[in-house]
Amino acid sequence: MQRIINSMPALLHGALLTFELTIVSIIIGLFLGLFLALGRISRNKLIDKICWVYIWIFRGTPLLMQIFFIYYALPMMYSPLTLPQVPAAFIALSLNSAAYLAEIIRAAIQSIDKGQMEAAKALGMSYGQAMKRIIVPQSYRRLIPPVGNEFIALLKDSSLVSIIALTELMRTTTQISNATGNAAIYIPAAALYLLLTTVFTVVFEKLERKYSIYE
Amino acid sequence: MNNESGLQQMIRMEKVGKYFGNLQVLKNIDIVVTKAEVVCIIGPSGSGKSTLIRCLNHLERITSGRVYIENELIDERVQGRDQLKIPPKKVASLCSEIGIVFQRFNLFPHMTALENIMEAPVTVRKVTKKEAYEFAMELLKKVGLEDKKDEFPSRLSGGQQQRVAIARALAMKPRIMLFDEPTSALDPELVGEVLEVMKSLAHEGMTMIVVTHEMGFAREVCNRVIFMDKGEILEENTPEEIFSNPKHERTKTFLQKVLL
Repeated sequence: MQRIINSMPALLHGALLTFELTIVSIIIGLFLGLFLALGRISRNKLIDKICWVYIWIFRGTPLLMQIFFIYYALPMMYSPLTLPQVPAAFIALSLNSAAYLAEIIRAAIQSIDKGQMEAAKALGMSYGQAMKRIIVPQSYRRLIPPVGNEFIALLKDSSLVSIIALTELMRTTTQISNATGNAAIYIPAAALYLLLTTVFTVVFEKLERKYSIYE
Repeated sequence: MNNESGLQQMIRMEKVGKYFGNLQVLKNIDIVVTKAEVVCIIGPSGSGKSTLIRCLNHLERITSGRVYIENELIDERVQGRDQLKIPPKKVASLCSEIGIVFQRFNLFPHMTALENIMEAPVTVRKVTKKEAYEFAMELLKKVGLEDKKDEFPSRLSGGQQQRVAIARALAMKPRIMLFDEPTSALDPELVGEVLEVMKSLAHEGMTMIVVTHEMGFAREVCNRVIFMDKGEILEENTPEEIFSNPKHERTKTFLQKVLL
């Protein structure tokens, strides 16, 4: 028991990195995903194709392989691309979540009634103005539940970066367990994961309510 | 430019045809609407009435023929090929000169009544917020809804939503107003309030094309009634003539059904 209490600071430190990895990756992913989604619904066939290929690759290969590729394989092929572990992990998770978020955003945008775009155009708005002021803002509320799902999935998938020796929550736990020979450390670690996912579930429920005022 | 009768032409369609795939929805349409005229288009559903007015502000593109707005050629097609290639910016500015009111209102649900009306003047015309606000309040007063300015559309009745939609279109100071079955989605007791607003617009001299099933409105307010069936204009006359003395067999059958 004492050993577990002693290892709590290390565990919390790992949880903090897990938290940071998830938040930053989801924010970059949302930003990139929005552009990928707009690209997919663009009338420009080339932009559509490029975005399609991006999503095809990042959804179609394992995240673990993408992490390996960015951290090990790229530097071996071209040494200036050598990255420290932390940026490599951020990049891999962001690029991967962008692909999933792009499809979520695309579905939300396309679910908005066609009459909205017509009304905007009839008032003289350009396609860009209509997207920015009318269509995308309406998709926020519909985005929240699936983005919440993606967020929680990413929080847990971030444990995969332990493979490149990044001491986030999962790797910290394994290290402590190996060093002390006490597997009970997995119980507080699991509790920490649960705590994080619970906090975010509540946050997303609040957001959903906030964006429901006009419905 | 004026025509022989000395009235300014607001809208002219010449030999307009429109296909959806292989289905011909407009055949050889010729229409002239002059300034301050109120023209009603009636006819069975699927006759191409809505498509016709949607071709005027580029919500639908014609397949053949020409469309003029205030004597300016805005669309010309030969077998679907665009002869003018007007840049999108120009199209947008043309659209903002022509207001349209939709059957299903299409208000922006994430904005209040006031924000709905202010949106296009501020975003498109770059009018100051203060100026847009003042004009929007004036318009809300005109449609009798100043006390609803901060309500979201979901909190308004259908009739109130449609009146906000009319105010939203008027905010761009259009020179032509198109109405696409503006009362068809309303409960019967709410139809009157929308027609009242349209009537007062007509009295102010707005040029209007109204696609409608409200025969009372067509008879009372319109200068001219056009009867369409299967994509063709079959008959065009004053309301008195159309309703009391229809010439075409299909007009007679249609009117018998709706005027029961």
